[in-house]
Amino acid sequence: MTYNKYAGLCADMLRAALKEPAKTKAKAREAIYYRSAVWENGQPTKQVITDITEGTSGKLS
Amino acid sequence: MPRGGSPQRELQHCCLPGAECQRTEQEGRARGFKITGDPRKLGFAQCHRTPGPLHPSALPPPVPNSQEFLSKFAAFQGTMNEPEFPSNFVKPVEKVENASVPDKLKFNFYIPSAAINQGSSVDLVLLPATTGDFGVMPGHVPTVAELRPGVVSVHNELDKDVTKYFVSGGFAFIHADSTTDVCAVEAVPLSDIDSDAVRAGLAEYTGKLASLQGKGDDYELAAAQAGVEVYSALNSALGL
Repeated sequence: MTYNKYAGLCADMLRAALKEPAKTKAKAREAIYYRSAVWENGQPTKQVITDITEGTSGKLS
Repeated sequence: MPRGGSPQRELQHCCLPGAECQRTEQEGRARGFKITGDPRKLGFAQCHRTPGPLHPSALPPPVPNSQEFLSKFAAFQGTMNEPEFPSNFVKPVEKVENASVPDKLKFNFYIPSAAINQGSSVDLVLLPATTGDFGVMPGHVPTVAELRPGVVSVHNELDKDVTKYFVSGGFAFIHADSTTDVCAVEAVPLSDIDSDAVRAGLAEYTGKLASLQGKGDDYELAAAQAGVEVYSALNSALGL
């Protein structure tokens, strides 16, 4: 558990406790999507897609 | 205009106003004045001398301030303009009591996705810090405070126009010029919070924490503790 993870976790828990119109808007902000690649000799070798659409709320790890 | 001598050369009475000075050349020299012209040929000044240390009795009485001078000058003014004084060219320093403390706080409230307040002028902001709740008014000591899950109250006008937000955490910075920056990870108005979800969440995390006591890894334990902290704060914010 790092500070960043803790701060993100608290924010996710807050978003889970919201009323409906605000909740869907906030959930959209929670999604994390990015693609990362490891480069060697000017060429990308490994592509990793990280897609967290639900956030971390409700999950303990 | 006194006769004798060019306007450039300074003419000074040795001791008495011109017409009354009857001193002879000898006398003038004896008193230490250098006579540079024939006293008898001079009209207005009976004797004159080149600039040098003046006898104290020959000195004009010192004028205390420019107003007094001007009132004396007025008798001789005629059509002349008034002389300038150095104080005319010096800007007066405005002395304001407590100039450094503004009467309203400059408040910025940011979350990653929006600027809730930007440069707003407010009277008071109540912040929930990990070290305890405190309020910020203009003139607050410069502070960096870590915020815990809790309620930020923005008093646009003290006790009259109050807006409350629940923040999940973040930091508050109070600067020396009374600019306050609050940066939160997530902040919502209290009206957007669902009471049922809060009750359910509190029960869930309290249960998880109880069941994890002594077992389960550190991360799960920490997450359960965070859950209890957030939902307890939400609980008390809504007055449940």
